[in-house]
Amino acid sequence: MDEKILEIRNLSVEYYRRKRVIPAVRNVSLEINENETLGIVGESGCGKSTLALAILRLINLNEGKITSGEILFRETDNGKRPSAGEAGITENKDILKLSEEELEKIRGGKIAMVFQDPFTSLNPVIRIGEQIAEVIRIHQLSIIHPPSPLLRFAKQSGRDCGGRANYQLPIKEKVIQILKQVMIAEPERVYNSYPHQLSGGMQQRVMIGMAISTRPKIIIADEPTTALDVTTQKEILELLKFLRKELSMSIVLITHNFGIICEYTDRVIVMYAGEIIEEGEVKKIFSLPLHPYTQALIRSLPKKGEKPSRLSAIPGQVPDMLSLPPGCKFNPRCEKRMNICLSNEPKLLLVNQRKVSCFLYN
Amino acid sequence: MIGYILRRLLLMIPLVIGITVITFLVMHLAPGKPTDLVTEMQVKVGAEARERLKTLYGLDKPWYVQYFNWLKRLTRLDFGKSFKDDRLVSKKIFERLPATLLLNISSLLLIFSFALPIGIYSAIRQNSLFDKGMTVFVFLGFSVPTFWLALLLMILFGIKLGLLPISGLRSLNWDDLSFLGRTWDIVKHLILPVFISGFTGLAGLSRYSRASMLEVIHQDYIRTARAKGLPEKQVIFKHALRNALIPVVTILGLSLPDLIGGSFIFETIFSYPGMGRLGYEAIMARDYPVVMGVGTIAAFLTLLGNFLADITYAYVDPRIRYR
Amino acid sequence: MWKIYWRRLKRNKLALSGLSIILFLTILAIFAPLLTPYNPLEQNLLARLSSPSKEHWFGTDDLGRDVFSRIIYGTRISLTVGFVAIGIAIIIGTIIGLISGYFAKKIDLILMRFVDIMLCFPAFFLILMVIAFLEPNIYNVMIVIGLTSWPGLARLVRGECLSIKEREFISAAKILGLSTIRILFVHILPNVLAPVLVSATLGVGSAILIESGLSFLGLGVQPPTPSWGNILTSGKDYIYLAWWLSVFPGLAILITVLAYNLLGEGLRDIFDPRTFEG
Repeated sequence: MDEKILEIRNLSVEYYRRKRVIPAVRNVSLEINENETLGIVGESGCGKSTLALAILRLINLNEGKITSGEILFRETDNGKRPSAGEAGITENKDILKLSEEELEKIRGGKIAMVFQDPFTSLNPVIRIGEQIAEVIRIHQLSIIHPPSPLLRFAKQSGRDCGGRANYQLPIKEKVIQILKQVMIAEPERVYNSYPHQLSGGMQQRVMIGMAISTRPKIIIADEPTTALDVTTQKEILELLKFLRKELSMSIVLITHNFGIICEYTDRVIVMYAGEIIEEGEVKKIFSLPLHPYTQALIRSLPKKGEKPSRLSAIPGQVPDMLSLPPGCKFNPRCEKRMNICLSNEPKLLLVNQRKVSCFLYN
Repeated sequence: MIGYILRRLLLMIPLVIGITVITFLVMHLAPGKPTDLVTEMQVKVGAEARERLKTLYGLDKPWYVQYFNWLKRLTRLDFGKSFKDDRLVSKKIFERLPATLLLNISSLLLIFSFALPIGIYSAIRQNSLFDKGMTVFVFLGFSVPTFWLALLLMILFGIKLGLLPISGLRSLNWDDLSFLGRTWDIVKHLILPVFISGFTGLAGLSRYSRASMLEVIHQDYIRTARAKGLPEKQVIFKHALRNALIPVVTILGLSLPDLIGGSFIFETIFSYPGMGRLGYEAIMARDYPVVMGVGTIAAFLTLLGNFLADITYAYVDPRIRYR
Repeated sequence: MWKIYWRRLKRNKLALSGLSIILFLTILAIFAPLLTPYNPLEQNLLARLSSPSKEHWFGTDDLGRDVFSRIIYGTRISLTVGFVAIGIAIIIGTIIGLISGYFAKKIDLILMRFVDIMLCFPAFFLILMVIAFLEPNIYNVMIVIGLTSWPGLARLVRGECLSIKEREFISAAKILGLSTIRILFVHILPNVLAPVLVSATLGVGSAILIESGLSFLGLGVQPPTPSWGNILTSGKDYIYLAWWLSVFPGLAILITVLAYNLLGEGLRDIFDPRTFEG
């Protein structure tokens, strides 16, 4: 359960606008465990989406690049059930060092993504059925010609390779099955529809279907509900929660909404100005936030039984990534600012069963 | 889809009426009556022609009667008879139409088959040497007087190198040629006119498809396609191309008037036996019935082209097809 | 705002190069009599069709006239036609576009249909037709090019006007009780000026192209007045004998139109709201 499946070490991403450099993600390290839902929370512009894109190297080269770090993905060669003798044939691959071809196998195959706005994220001129089918087709190819002889042996001896028996079905039926799995009522109709003929919630279900169609190890959901209305939001999040258990994968849920984090994630990472400032189990952080920023975030949540007039906002403005202050990046907005905060940058240290980066606890 | 086509057809009705009104107006724009002008400028068109024009246009009647008579004749494609040789204008035009269509359709094919790859390649290699070269080409394409380029190419390929014929559509020895020889002969005669008449369009469409492609590859669904693990080739050719084509198809329809307008000048330079040269010669000879006929047919060809572009547009964009 | 544009202009290579060529050409046109070695109309039958030499840089034409001098004088024709024709087009296009965009509904529908119809005619043939009915001379050429070049501009202005009239300051002006004409010309017009300027600059280039095409076909500026187009006509007539009659006037057209296109594209960058900063 607690085994790491993805580990990011000292990742930094920069964007370039004109001749200026925007340090969108700075020296971030984190890990994702098997079968967990990891939440990443922060204000818009704090680098959480960039981080998500960077994991699959989806940063547009004209706009920015990953300047340093490692993204280690642990690949178990034989799916969930390694043959007895070779249990744990695992390999840590650095995604940043993979060739285009190897990268394409991971993208959508091992790690899938669900984006914020399903309407713009689905291709408007291709039918839904084909948009899902092509993912299956492309990743199936890499299974027919597996890189390791071990898998070929497993296939020949007729063993069940962890759900891969499904690939024997004609692709259309497989797609219909997936549409049912994401709770779409009329899978046949949706199969033949174009994106603009579906509602936002349906479109997001399709995106999720696309993501789970290859049984990935990790799904990265970048604000999957921000573009949807409130009731649909809940349905989509419940669906993700259900599928995570059903398919035993990990989910990285990126959001700016701490309420969603509390309800749907196991562990949370709080980001501010491109850095991780606090990380730990959701329950612990929610009951006792340590970093002043996390405290403010939680305080700003509406509480049950309280009038909405008592909503408190975090003072100050979202930081300007082009001119970050020296010292702790949060210091201009911090209530508990000390002299050291103005000159020195705090480090992420283990405090009270979690990591926090604040001089209050050094 | 059928509903869409019908709607487009309905929208064309005011355009058709408008075209006929404008043609009719232009005819009456001349200082005094067209009949006066004809007889002043051309001595050989005498009193007889003046009478004929008068009855043809019914110039003694009020303008709306004249207009409806003109419409009525239009439905029968009756533009009267040419002053020059007394032949039916419609007949003269339809003799020349195939050559003009051959020229314009070949240019369209040239434009499409080169502009798209050029535009797409420079979009996906933005800021590369090829892209910069294309930008220069586009600037030249918009700035060069094409009739001058035609002269230069005639001097180079026709006179200095002697590789290509510089006028007409057939060689003098046409009758002696085999079928293959005739085809090759026509192709040789077409190369320069097609290249020249497609030149500006080529530059324009390359630039346009580059811009369209650039916009598309920054869309979210392209990121999705990459995130799915599709190879770059499929991302470009399956996901980006069809979306980039949508606006290009529209612009193609809009570029038709320029193409047809261009044939008046290019056909004249290359002494090409098409409708454009017929129109030009008619203008120079003040052969009004022919001028009006050519003008109307050209406008309707443009309209037809726009309609075809609309249908293609709906075909590539399901958001139009299924509403 | 215009200060920012001016600062951007000084840094935009496209616009600067276009602008300097245009200034240079304008100086040529104004001081043509001082700069030309020969009278452009003076015939020298002893030196007919002589190739470029020290005496005649660009050679002479079929009547022995100095091609260099004729091309310099031709600058006057091209620039004048370009400016006047586009001036006419701007006036008509802006007014129709503003009215169409501001009043919307029926007026808009009718005007835009009219624009569609105009765009359906091959503009060049329409011009040919009209010129054929009128007398071909420089004035008619300018007027007719102007009268056929406005529909694109009208569409552009209408689009801009549609979006601007939804902004708060226009509602404020309406509430203050300003007259419609004042709102249109004092409050909306300045805001559509930038795209109009871009499109007009590019338009001058194509007007020059059309004029040279007309003159080339004998329907524009009439000889003996020198225009780049009608020098090219003799180039075509003597295509086997005198390449210089074709090459130089064409180059003059190319450079001039290129300059306007460079300036136009440069201005487009300068006015583009997406390229903020500095």
